[in-house]
Formats: sequence, structure tokens, C-alpha cells
Amino acid sequence: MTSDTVSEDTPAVETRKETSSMLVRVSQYMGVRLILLFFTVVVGVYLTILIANMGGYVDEIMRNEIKERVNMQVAAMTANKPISPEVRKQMAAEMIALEEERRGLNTPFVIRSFRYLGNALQLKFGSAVQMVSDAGSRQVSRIILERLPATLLLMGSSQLILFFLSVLIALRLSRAYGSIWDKIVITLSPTSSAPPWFYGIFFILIFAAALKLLPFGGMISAPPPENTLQYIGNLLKHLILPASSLIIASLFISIYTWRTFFLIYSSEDYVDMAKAKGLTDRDIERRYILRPTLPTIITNFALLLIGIWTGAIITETVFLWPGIGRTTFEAIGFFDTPVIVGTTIIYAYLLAITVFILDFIYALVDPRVKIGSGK
Amino acid sequence: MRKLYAILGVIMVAALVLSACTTPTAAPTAAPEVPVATEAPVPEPEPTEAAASCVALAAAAPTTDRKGGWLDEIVVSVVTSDSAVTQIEAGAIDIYANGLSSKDLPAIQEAGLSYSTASGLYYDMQYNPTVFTDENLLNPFSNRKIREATNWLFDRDYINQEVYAGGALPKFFAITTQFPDYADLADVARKLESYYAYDLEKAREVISAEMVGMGAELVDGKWNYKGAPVTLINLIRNDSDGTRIPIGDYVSTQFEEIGFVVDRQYKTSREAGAIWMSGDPYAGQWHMYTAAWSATVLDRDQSNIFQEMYLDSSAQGIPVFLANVSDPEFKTLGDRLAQADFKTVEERHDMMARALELSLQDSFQVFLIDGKNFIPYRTDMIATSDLAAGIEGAMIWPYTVRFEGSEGGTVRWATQNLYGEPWNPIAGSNWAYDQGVIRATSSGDVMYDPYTGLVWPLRIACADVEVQEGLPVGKTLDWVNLKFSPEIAIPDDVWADWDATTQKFLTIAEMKGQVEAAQSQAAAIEAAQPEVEAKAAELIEAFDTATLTVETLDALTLEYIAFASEKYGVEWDVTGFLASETPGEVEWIDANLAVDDVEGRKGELEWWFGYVVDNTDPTAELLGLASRDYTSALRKTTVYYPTDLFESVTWHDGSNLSIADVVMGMIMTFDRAKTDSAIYDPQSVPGYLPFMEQFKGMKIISTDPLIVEYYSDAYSLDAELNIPTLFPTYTFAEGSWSMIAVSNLAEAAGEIAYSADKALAKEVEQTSWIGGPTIEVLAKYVDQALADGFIPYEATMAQFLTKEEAVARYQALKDFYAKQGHFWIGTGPYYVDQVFLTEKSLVLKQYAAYPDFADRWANFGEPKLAEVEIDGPGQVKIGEEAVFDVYVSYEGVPYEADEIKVVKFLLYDAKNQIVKVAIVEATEDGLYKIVLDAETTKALEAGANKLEVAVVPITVSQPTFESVQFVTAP
Repeated sequence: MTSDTVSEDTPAVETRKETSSMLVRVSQYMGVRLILLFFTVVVGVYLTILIANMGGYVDEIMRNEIKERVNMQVAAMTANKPISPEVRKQMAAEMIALEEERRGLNTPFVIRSFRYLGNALQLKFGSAVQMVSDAGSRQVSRIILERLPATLLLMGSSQLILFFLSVLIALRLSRAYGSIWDKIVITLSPTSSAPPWFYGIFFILIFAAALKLLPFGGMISAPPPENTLQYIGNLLKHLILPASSLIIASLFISIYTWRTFFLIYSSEDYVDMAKAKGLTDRDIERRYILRPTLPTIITNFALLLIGIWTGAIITETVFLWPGIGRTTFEAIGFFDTPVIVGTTIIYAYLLAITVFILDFIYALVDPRVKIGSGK
Repeated sequence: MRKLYAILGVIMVAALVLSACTTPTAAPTAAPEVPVATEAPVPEPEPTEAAASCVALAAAAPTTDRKGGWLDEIVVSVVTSDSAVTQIEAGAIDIYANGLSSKDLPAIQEAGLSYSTASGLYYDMQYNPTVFTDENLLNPFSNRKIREATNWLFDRDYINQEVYAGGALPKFFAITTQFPDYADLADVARKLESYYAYDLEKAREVISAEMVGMGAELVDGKWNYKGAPVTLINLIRNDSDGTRIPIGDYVSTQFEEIGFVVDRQYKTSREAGAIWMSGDPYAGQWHMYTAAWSATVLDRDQSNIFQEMYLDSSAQGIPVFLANVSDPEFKTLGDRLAQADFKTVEERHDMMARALELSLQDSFQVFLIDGKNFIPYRTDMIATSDLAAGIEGAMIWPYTVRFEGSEGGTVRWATQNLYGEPWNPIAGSNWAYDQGVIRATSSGDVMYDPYTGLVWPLRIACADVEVQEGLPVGKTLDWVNLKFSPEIAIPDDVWADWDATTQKFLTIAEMKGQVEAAQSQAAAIEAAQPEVEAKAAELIEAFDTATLTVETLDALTLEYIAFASEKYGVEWDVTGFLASETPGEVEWIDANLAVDDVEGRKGELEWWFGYVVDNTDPTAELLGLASRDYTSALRKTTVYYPTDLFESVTWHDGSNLSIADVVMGMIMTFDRAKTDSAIYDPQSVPGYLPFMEQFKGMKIISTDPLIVEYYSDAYSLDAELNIPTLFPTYTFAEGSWSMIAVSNLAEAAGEIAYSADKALAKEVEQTSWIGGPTIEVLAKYVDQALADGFIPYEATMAQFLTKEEAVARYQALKDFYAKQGHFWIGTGPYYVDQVFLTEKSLVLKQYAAYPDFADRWANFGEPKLAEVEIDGPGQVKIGEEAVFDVYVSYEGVPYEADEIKVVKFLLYDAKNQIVKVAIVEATEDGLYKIVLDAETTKALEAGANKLEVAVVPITVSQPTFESVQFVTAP
């Protein structure tokens, strides 16, 4: 571009070269990025497997549990019968062997852990060790899919409301720094130190037990309404308390965080200039505050979307909400590694894909960002 | 921003629609049609007349014309136990059937709710009785006298009041305080409870003496051994219901009080289990553990409890039990009791009484509390609670739960969870909450008495029980006839086993032939055994242990097994076993035995051969068969069914119960455990083997009315409990032959499996009749069976079932499924109307075609606990006669004398020692006179004495105790 002698076709060649160079650069970047992300997923999932099994210690715990349960069963089956201790011992040994085989304990943990990893990476979820889906299936995919709608509903509605409410209010507050509302939000932000289930219990006591306005828990009344509209209404009624708990528990700290973030941008000179030019508040917010903060907002939003997948473990348990969070909670209690790994691998892949896509979105929404430029 | 809001809106709507889409289509709520007779005449075997010597109970006149359950509807849902009381108070639910622990009792009482009680956990201190390997560590509990003395160390009443709000019962013995054995041994138990009552100083005195004897010394109030304080490690469970923390703390404090240092280690079940259960007890990692056990069935015979809870022969089989060296008398007695080695009820009573005494002397475990569960419900509800199993676990609940003074209505039944595992009657869900609901849909041969553990005829008319002379069997109720015979011969045409290949029953005559063949082969095996053992020794000797690898060990083992297989003349496959076990064994040897430790390694190889043989031996079944004796049985039960059984009892799909249902149940007893069966399931084998050790045969004497003879070597002490299950009630629920046939077809085709084990192994779904992915598979096979007019196990079943009849049954199934959307079909007083799997709820509706009136079991509304009052002189002159009147009543009405098993009194002197125990006879209904003659009062010293009365009713196994004090003066 700086040559003094330029042929007529040079720009086209240059452009082709540039395009070709950019493609190579982007491809290389994508390749490296994908490999790194995949490696991260592998490490993350394998760590989950190790942690879920306490490095193999869970095998011992499960063996103990099997032995205790089988011995009790054998004791009950043979109580007050002229059955010799040898026969009883043989029965117990056979039953223990069957159960250990069923749970895969006859294979060393190291081998099993890599088997879990391999299957997980290929999205072969297999069968749960102990858990069954509500419909009675031991297929991990069924267990997860069965609970997915409930979690998407609860987490989706609460987290989206929380996100947009926070951003909207924070944006306004950042323009009204020091106002009474700003002070109220700052004052209330420590309330978010309490977890959602804490609010949940209070809400249950107030709105279900005392006022009898809303249900104690569950996702639907028993029996559920047969009419679809009534069903949706009933569902929303059950959604109010758990969703409110999740929203209230994070609302003020979320507003406070966003408000502080927006405050940095809203006190920039160009914002003052825009104001001096007489632009409306709406235009200032949209063009001069939201625009430069868009990558951060999109990142948060994207992570929120995949976070919806994981559910809210304790809040779902408190409200008996049949979601992924409660399933994960039960799976941890049962040491059901396939289920734990199943929920983790999906989250891991979603996270990796999101991170990967975000790089491109940054480049689209922010002209300063170039993919693979190393800057 | 608008776009973002639009996205939010779309996601919200999508989520709502997605959730709504999961709604199962609720089936219409109409009740199944009243049964229509669809059966063609059944070709039957020639009926043989058998006169019943037993007498069917006369039915009381009904007080209602309602049939089936009292309620119109029961809506089952899931709520957390934490909110149960609040939810009943708020009117959201009517009953929390799963029960709450003692810590919730104050909340239940405060809320003013009604509640029933059931057995909860029972708590004790489990001691480590070993002498530790480390000689510098003293384990006081290796001394039986110290363990015994700790009974005086703990104030059980204090624990009950402080930890359980007085809602539990102090416990000294392994037997359960409210079960029949305790009632039978009430006087013995009371005497021992008095002797071992809380006495801190006595505990200190005995323990101090023993500690000194063991070489310990008291330094500055602390016990020291070899210069270091004696520190007791107390493993205190911090999970479960939370009450083991205060118990563990209290026990620790008491030990600290008498000079021990206590290391309180708070652990979860899993953490503690790794130490006390699977750890090496000799390693000194623990001294005591806050154990708890459960008794959820009203067990009328706890003979095995001493072996179970104290002896090294316990089925617990864990290291600490194996390490307990008991007094030889106790060991022998406990083992004999466990194997029912007694001739008469009286002999057993004496053995149990002695075992109670010896168990406290052993005190391997020191029992503290019999816990209770509390089931709260609305005050206007009536619910029958089993003394052990509560409401949900009681077979009778569907027949008695109702609103007071009214019929019909809807009960909102809440429980802990639902659909814990797939529902099928063969190997389906056994979760208490699932079984609670299933009970409402089932009936059966007999009804379990919730207060005594005996049974009443539900679908049978009566039964004759014949046992061999000398067996300690007695009877309480009139519907069963008990007789003793010198020998009970088994006729040759009785069905004794099942041939899965020919699909026919094997008769006694055929089995005798098989036994003879097995005996000759067993003899050959025995003869070859020394040669096989010599071969093993030779192989081990020749093996170079330094070259031990998975491959070399496998090769060595295979050579040995091949030799044994040839010599024994049996097929013996160990490849699967070796594939899973050898790597672990080699790893263990490498880690624990040095390469140059040739002897150690060879010793391990010897163990390894034994281990392989124990786990894969194909001769076990053969030897078991060879040891069977089909000439006679210890018991024969003849069960008589009412003449209208097959007309009056209908399945929820409208079909009549038929003889085919009964025969299918008989076949299924055997078929799944047979390797030649199309539905063979290894999971069924462990339970099948002990059954076959005692089962001798059965014979259908007549099909109309149904009369069946049943021969077995197993017997219970109560004649009423010697009734076989012949009604099509499987392990986990009822099953019509048609549903079993359809499920078997699907399992044989490899599409589903009854048991979780087999489902996992075959990578198919576990059979569920209530919903889920297997429903469509079942529906497909219903269609197939319908199209084919399929008769299952045709070689046998065709004698009891025609093709037309089969088609009619499949059609009924198909229609039921089309209407209700599931296959859960029983004969109980309620049927499953709607099922919501993910929502975890279910609707039961009254089954109007149920044959019995709703009030049939109304007399089981409440346990008839005896109320006792004692009236007598407050002052008695020594050497003079004194008379006390004992009034026994129930709700103010005198208790009938023939409903009282025994009334005993215990006389305590001024030192709280029992000086006399005697039985009191009734002078009239509800009145008993205790006469303390001059001789008796002469033996008393001056002071305050106590007269305690124990009343044991027949109608409820819970004794009532009442006492009165009187002063003796010269």
C-alpha cells in the first residue's frame, strides 16, 4: 500500500493476499482456540470425575454401603430359619458380587474414570448407577432431559428477569448518581449475601403458610389441571416463589455491580459532550453508554444463558422444583458419577462453544477487536 | 433494547410452552367398568374332595352399602418433611404419611394435629470389643464386665426426655419394646431393667475395679495406662435424624465423669462406616460408635436378634462382629435361637429369658432408646397405624383411612417421594413411599393385623396347618386349624420344582429321581476332591511367584479349573470372573507381598484358588439338590378359598380373577431363577436358593372352590403365619397373569427387564407398569399377545386357560390402557386413575367393584391398648395378707378376659429388688385380684415397696404397665 509504483491490478492482488492472510490467520486462531478449549473441557471433566469419586475413595464407601445393605437383606431373608452361616455367607457374597458388578466396582477406578471421560466427551451418557428418571429410566440422557424444561423455566425466567431488570435499573442509576434511589440500592446490596433458598424459606412461610396465597412448592398442583391454559396459570403460580427468591437474592448486588460499571462510562467526556449537545437521555444511554459496554453485556448474557442449564441446586430442593439442580444434588448424594458427568459435560461444551463464539461476536460489535491479531 | 426484550419474551414463552408440553395427558376419570364375565369354562383337573377342618370366620353385618375404600379419591403428592406440619395446618395436605421423627413431636402437638406412632430407629452404643494390636493402647471395652457396667452409666430416661421430648421409649434389650416377644417376657425384662437402672456410682465402682485389674491407674481423676491417659474414641454420627449427636455427647460426658478422656469424632455415615464397619477393629481407631437400627415390620419372632446383634455368627458379617468373643453359653443359646432349635414354646420362652440376661452381660451393644416416628394428619381423619410400620407401611391403611363420620371425599396424601424406581411386581420399586400407594391397589390372601403381627383371612376362607410333632407352633385365632403329626409324607404327584425347558412342573416322583442322580454325581465329586486338591498344591508349588502377572495367574487358575472340571465331570467357566478379579488380585499381591516372599505369595495363591472356587463353583447347585429330601416335610398347609372367589374378585381392568392367575404365580416362583428360562435373571437366584432349601411342594386339590396343599420345612411359631402366598401377589405387588405374560414376552425379546440389574446388564429399560418408556413396549406386546391368542407357558397353563379366555384378558388390558394410560392393575379397594411422573403425583379412585364392604376392617381403627388402674391399701402390715384390685379396661369398658393373654405382677421391695413375680387370674371381665399372702409380706422389710402390673392383651402386642406404691410396717 505504500509502494510508489502501483500497477492497476495491485489493489486486487493485495486484497486477495490480505483476505487470504486473514483466512489463514483466522483458521489458525480457530484451530488453536478449539484445541485449547477442548483440552480445557477434558481437564475440567476429568477433574469432575475425580472429585465426584473422591479419587476412587467413593468405591470404598459404596462397597461399605453394599455390604451393609446386603447383610441386612440376608439377615432378614434368613431370620429364624435353619440356614447355616455358610449358606448365608454364600448368599451374601453372591448378592454383593452382583451389586458390585452392577455398579461397575469390579473394574478398577482408574479404568472406569477414563471410560467415563471417553463416553462423556462423545456425549455417550450411558446409564445411571443408582438414579432413575421420574419415568423409571436409568438412561442419563432421559434423566437430564426430563428435568430440563423445569430448570429452563425457573432459571430462564428468573435469570432473564434479573439480568434485564438489573441492567435497566443500573443504567438509569448510573445517570442519577447519588440520588435517593441510588442510595437505596447501595444500602440494600448487602442483602444479596443471603442465598436464594434463605429468601425461599421466608417466602414460603409468609406467602404459603401464613397468607395461603401461593403453594409451598412443587411445579404444579396435584393433580395437575387438565386444561392447558389452567395448567400454564397453575405453573406460573408455582413459579412465583422460587423465581422471586432467585431474583431477590441477587437483584441489588447485580444492580449495584452494573451501575458501577455503567458509571465509569457515563462519566466519560464524550457523554458530557453529548449531553451538552442536547441529546436525549435515551440516545445518550443507547449510543454512548450501552454501545461501548456491549461486549461485556453480551458476555454476561451469554454466560447467563448457559448458566441456566445448571439449575439452582438448593433452591430447587427447597421448593421441590423438579429441575436439573435437584437432580445434581441427588446425584452427588448417590455418588452417581454418570449423572454428575452428564450434567457437567453438557455445561462444559456449552461453555466452550460460547467462549469460542464470543470471540467472533466481540469482533462484530467492537471494531477495535480483530480475531487472531494477537492484540 | 427492544430486541432484547423481544428475545426475553420469546424465551419465556418458549419455556412455558416447553413445560406445558411435558404435561401427561390426563386420562378420563371414569371408573373402570364393573366386571363383565368374559371367561370361557375352564377345563379343570378332576376335583378331589378335601374336607376343611378349619372354619371360616363369619362376616359381621355391614354398616354401609359402600364397597371398596371409604374415600372417593386419594390424591398423592410429594412434600418435604420440614414443611409437613405447616402444610397440614395451612390445609394444603391432609396427612404426611411418611412420618416425622421425635424432634417434630412438639410441633405436631403445638399445631393440634392428630398423629399416629410407628417404630422409628432404635439407638445404641456399639463397642469395639477387641484387644488392640498396639500394646500401649488399652481398650476398656475388651472387658465384658466394663461393657456390662456401662448399662448403669447411662440414664435412658434422661436421654428420652432431653433428646426425644419424651416421645421414645427407654431400651435395654435388642428385642423391640412394643413387639410380642417383649410382651411375652415382660416380667423378665422388667426385672432386668430394674437391676440395670441408672446408677452412676455402681458403674464407677465396677469399671474402676476392672480398670485396675487391667493395669490402669487413676491419676488426678483420670485413667492412665502405661503413663498415658486412656482416651476413648467415640464415633458420633452427625447425619441421619441428628439425634445421635446429643446421645454421643451425653455418653461421652458420662465417660468423662468417671475418669476417661473422650475424643468425640463427629462423622457422617460414610465417614464413620469406613472406620467402624470396614476398618480393622484391632487397629485401635475407635472404641465406640453411636449405632442405630430399624425394625419396620411387626416381628412376632425375634429369636434371631441375639445372634444378629451380638455374636460372631451374626449375618452382619463385618469385622467387629467377627471379633466379639462372647460367653460360650450366650453364643450357643443365641445360635440355637437363631436356628429355631427349640421344641416347645415354653422352651423358647426360657431360652429367650436367659438370652436377655446374658445379652446385658455381653453388652457388645448397649441399647438406649426405642425411637418412634410420628405420622401427623387432620383431626377429623381416621387412620390405622401399624405398631411398627406406621400408616404408609400398614397393609390395612387403604381399608380404614377416612374422614370421621362421613363416607367419600378426597384425602390429600403427602409423602416423602414418589416413583423411586420403576413399578413392577416382580423386582420393582420397594421404596416405602411407593409401596404405600401400591398397597391401596392390591389385596391378597391375608390381612396383616397392625397391632399383633398376626394375619386375618382376606381372600382365603380358612386354613389347616399341620406340623410335625415337637415343633413349637401355636395358634391364636380361630380361622386356622392347627394339628400335629408324627410325620408329614409328601404325595408323589405334588409339584416340587419347575422345568424351564419343558415348561412343566416337576413332581415329587421326578424330583426323587433327580436327587438320586445328583447324589451319585456328588459322591463322584467327593471322591475326586483329594485329587483336585493335590493338583492345586502341585500347581502352586511349581509356580514361579516372581513372574506373577495377570496373564500367568490367569493361566495357572485356568489349568487348575480345567483339571477340576474334568475330574468332577461338570462344565466350569471362570473366564468372566477372572477378567474382573485377577487384575485386582495381582495388584494386591504386588503391593503387599514382596517378590522374594515366596511362601507368602504361595499362601496367597492357595487363598486365591479357594476364592475362585467359592465364587464360581458349578457343583454348588448339584450338591444342594443331592442334599434334598422329598419324602416328608415339617409343615403342610391346606388353604381353602371361598366358593365365589373367581366370581367376586375382579382386576381393575374388569377381568375376573382366575385359576390361571394363581398358577402363573406358582410358575413365576421358579422360572426367573432357571438358567434355561427365557426370562432368566441372576438377580433372582440368591433369594431363590434358600427358598428351595425349604420348599417341598404344592398341589392344587381343587380349582372350584380353590384348595391348595403346600409342603415346606419352613415354619413360623404362629400357625397363622404359616400360610403360603398363593394369591397372585408377587414380591412387590399383585400381577394378573396377562400382564405377567406380556412383560415376560417383552423381556424374553430382550426389550425390557424386571430387575434393575438385568436392565443395566442388557442395556434396556426396567419394566414399569405405571409409566415411562416401557409402557409403549408393553402396549406393543399386548397387541401381539392379543393377535396370537398367546397362552404363556402353554404346556402347563393350557390346562387352566383357554385361548378365548386369554384373548378376552388381553382385550381387557388393551381397553384399560387406552382409558387409563398405564398398566397398573390390581384387585385392591382403589385403582390408579391418573399418573403424573415428573410432577410426582398420582390419583387413586375408589374401586366400586371391590367385593368387600368398606367397613370390613373398621374394628382396626385404633389399637385396643389396655388401660390399667390398681386399687389397694397404702399401708400393709408385715406378715398380714394384702389384696389389690387391678381394673383393666379400654375406653372405660372392662376388657374382656378372653382378650387378655396374661396379667402378671412384680413385687419390688424397699431396695427396689424384685421379690416376687406371679400370674394373676381374672375374677371377672376387667377385674383381677392380687393377693399378697402373709408369707409374702413377711419377707418384706419396713419401707416403701412397689407393686407393678403388666397386662398383655391378645388383640394388641403392646403391654401396659402400671404400678402402685405401698408402705410396709411391722
